[in-house]
Amino acid sequence: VTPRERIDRLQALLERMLTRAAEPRAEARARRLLDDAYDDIRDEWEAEAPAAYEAEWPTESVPPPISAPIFTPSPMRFGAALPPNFAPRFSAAERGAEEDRASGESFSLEDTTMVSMASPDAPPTAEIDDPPEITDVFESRSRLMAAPPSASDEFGELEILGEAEPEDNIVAIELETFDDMPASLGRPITQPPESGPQVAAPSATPHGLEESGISLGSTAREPEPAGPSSMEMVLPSARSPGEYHADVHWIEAPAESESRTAEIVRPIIYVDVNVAEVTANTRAFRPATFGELLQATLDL
Amino acid sequence: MPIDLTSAVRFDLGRGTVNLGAAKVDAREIHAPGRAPELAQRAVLLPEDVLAELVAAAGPAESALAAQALGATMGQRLAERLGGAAAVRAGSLEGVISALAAEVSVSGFGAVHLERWGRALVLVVEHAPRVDPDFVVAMLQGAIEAAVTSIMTTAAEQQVRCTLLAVDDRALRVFVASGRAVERVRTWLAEGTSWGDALARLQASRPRAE
Repeated sequence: VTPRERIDRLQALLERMLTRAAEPRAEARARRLLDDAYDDIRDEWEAEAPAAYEAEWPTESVPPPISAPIFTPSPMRFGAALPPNFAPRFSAAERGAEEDRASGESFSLEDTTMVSMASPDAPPTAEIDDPPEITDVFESRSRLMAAPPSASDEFGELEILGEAEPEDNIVAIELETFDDMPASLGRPITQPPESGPQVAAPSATPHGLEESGISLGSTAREPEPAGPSSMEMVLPSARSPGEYHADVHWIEAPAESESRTAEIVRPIIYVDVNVAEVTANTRAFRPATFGELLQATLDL
Repeated sequence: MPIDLTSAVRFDLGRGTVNLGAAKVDAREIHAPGRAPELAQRAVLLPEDVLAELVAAAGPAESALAAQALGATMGQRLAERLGGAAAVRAGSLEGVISALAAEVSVSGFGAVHLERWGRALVLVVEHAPRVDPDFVVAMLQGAIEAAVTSIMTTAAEQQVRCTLLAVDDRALRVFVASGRAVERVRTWLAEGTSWGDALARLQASRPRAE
């Protein structure tokens, strides 16, 4: 698989995600992820095999621009209060078609990079042949944010999606924080990929929500925790009142001696959300009826 | 709750009429004696470019009134089918939006979906006819107002208003809110704020609950 092919696949995946993203900011962040991935893959390839790199990818060549459509969220995918496949349904035939549209656009993760986020309820290891749909990502994030208090008392009911920061995107946390991360906590992988990736989630977690992993990239095998480490950070877009804090409990990064060969472009970071400063009205809003939602929107 | 659109549009070729309004949630009710005639409204088929010309010629204010009146007929049929305005309010999101989508769909104004952005209700219309988007916005406003009118307060703050958030080749995105919130969002959009940020800003500035 050439770098060009890998990048093409990465771009195709992210474009697909862009078309199905449920947040305006997700588009910009996904574009940033793609830019980073371009840089990583090119750097790795150039360092490993300059001649081949130059032949495969001339210096003057510029990766093709992303041509994904402007942010187009799928209906009722945001907030996770309704089923992800929610849509007006008129007949069995049309419902089937709708579901096909919602879930039928599968894409292969083989030999490419993916963005994934395991849910608290998910098994610790995601299956590579069962990639999460983008809707699953947002569903999972919602569950992460709305998880009940854990033994650590650091968690509370929170719906970050529905209140002060509906545009928050956990994925951005890991990426925007990574560059400032202490070296001891993790580092980017510089080895060139040698084989196709797999998707991995932690095999052990400190507690509770740590099973909620957010990953960009993948690993050739299930990683061992590099931590636990802890680093407090404030979500980039957090604003008062109701600041959101996230604690990075540990960060996945293969040890240098290990021959991890996947296309890891960023380590996996596990975050907990400290909701101590989240005020009462950031509790989950889950309207059960149309009237509730209508009243809520009228009260804005 | 399946929406059965059997006989939602009825063509009487002998009389040369088209009638809307026989759509029922339960197919059995469609054929209930006396029901369909009560709901039926005579309609005419109009090419979209003709409608677009009419809307353009009428001007914003008049076309908005016409659109709201059109939407009101949809909302009334919606409420009728669901059992009244109170039932609309008590209905599930999926049930109500499906019923609204059915009305809009059989009228040829596109496929309606609902998005919830936090507390903000956003309607998305795909495959809308090529008319002034504000016409569709006003139509949706009329539909929602009519569907819930008997149970919503008439206070200005609580009247349903809609505004266009975004429009592209694929869909119209319409924010449903109070007049005050709609004005704020319109101001922010005019200042260049993205609609997503505008919705976030609106909710961030919302008074905190006790």
